Amino acid sequence: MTVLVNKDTKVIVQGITGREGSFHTKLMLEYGTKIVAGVTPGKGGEEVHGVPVYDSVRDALDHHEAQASIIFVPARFVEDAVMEAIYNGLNPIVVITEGIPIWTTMKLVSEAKKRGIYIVGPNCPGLIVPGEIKIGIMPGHVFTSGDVAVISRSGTLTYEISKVLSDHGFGQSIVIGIGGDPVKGLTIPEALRLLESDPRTKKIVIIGEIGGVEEEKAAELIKKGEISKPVVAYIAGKHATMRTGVSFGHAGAIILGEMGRPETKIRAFNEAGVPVARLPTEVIDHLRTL
Amino acid sequence: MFLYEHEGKKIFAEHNIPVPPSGVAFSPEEALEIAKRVGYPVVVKPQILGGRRGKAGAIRFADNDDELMKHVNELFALELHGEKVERLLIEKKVNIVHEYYLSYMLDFYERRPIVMFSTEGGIEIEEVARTKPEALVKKYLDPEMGMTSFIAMEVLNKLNIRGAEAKKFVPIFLNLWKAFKEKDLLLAEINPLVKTAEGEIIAVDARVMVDDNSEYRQKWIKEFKEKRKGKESLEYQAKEKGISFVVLDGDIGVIGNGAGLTMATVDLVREFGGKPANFLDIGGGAGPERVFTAIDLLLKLGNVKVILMNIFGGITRCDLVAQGILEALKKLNLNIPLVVRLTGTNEEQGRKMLEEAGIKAYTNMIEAVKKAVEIGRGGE
Repeated sequence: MTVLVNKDTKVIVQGITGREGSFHTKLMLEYGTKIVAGVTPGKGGEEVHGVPVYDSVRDALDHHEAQASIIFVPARFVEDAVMEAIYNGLNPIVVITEGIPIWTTMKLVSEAKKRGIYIVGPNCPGLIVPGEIKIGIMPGHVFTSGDVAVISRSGTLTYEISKVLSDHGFGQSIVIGIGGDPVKGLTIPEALRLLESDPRTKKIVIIGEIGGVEEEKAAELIKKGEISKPVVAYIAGKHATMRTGVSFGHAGAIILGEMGRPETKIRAFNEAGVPVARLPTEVIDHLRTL
Repeated sequence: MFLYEHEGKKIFAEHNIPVPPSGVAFSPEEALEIAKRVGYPVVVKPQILGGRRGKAGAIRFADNDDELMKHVNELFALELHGEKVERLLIEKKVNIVHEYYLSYMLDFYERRPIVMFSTEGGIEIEEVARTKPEALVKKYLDPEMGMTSFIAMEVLNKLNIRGAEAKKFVPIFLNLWKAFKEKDLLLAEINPLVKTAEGEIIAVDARVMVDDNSEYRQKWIKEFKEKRKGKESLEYQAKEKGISFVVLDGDIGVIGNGAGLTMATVDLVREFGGKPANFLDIGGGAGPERVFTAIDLLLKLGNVKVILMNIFGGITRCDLVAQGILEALKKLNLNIPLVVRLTGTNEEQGRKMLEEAGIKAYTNMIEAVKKAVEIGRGGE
């Protein structure tokens, strides 16, 4: 048993007939993910890499059992797709799509919360339990199975750091890419709480970045003693302080006045006893000493 | 994206929030014309996107053409918080009796909007919160219900504004909320919102931030963006091509794939003593064209001594990245060194292509960064 998903979780791909959806369906299948159906309105009856396509989530669920959804539909159609997943009780819902208006995300997350459903993302690489299941777009080969959990606001930096972890014998219990948007489903503090009760996770790596207050809220939680497992952090964007009010690639990576500054995040972690790696590669040095 | 004051006021005016008569001048001649139209006395305000203007002495008043010309010429020569002043707002001066503060913003973490209102306007709201918290009301709103007449009254009453006086503010509360929600804004701030000698309530400043992700349903954003100049313009051109670009002040050009990895690369350059010229993320799954465009953009910056490229191929294929680099070598006048770190999907292929062209590709990111910093130093 692990958090959010396990090797038996059955998955629906929404937006399966698009370029990204189809490409990653193939990669997820190769990784061993149990994708039972795809959904694209108007494409019911087709097949993508041997996966049957339906017009609606409802129709897919009438023919297959499934728990989770991964969503690739373009930003302007995402509201409908996520609502559909929520109303049909899929959980978790992993939203890969980038570029969703923040007001829309706010509405979707609020709907999901009312029903106790987890949204991961949007604008995220998804999640992977190495060796078991991948609901996402990350390159599977850089991850190895182990007991270090990774929570990250980034994509490629997660692959980079996970590879360093793997190369040095620190396998991962789960890697969750929570995404780069300012408003999102699963946040760092929420992910920490889930991992605290995950028996397979012994240590946690947080890959944060400038913008927002999630790192500070996470540090607060740790300081209060609600997270007992050792945590190591890395913060990207330390040099971004010279351009405030501008997004660095991720919509959420933005310093607004006093909010979202890297030094505040680093200080908060330090005060909570969380070592912050200066270089991404230094994460392993801290893991060794914890 | 932050809007210029005059752009923000345009949105306010469309939503029936009173603003003083004004116009935007890109030249002294235009300034004169606008002053003639709105009538003296006027206020002259540089339009910049960041930082405060008042403290820098950049807000001026003019009673006649001569005074106006003096200020306009001085202001056009100014650089404020690193921004060259290219546009001035010429606005009819209002007779201020009292300054208030009103704003809506989204609390990203709580995922809810907040309204803030204060009887102490004209200064930064953080300062009011620190020094006179009793003059500030901050209230979370339900995103669906939003601002209503009764909530507006409750907020006003809390600060002892009552009766006919309070009633004058309510439409502003409601109209600003409408603009906030309908226009996909993340921040809509009026500071100061003033009461004039004539008893009117007018928005004298506008600080507005819009969600870039909403561009597909907020067509007006594009129109504003296209008018941007300087580094803003280069950054906008990049974005149109799927590239995230932020201009910094150093001389080591940085290209990466993925926002986090690119930010980390910029930080590493700094960590090892170099000065990053920029942040440039080619995004996920970039092909040769985007790599080519990225290199082209850095060359346009004009002050880049070395280009550091950090690619971790997951979805992005190293051979396609190499192809883009080779095309840039062939077609662009690339007379500065290129340090490439290439690892991940199809890396052997990519590295071989580069080596045949005489470019060594690193696998280790730290080594590549150190090399780029070394080259950057050597050129000084």
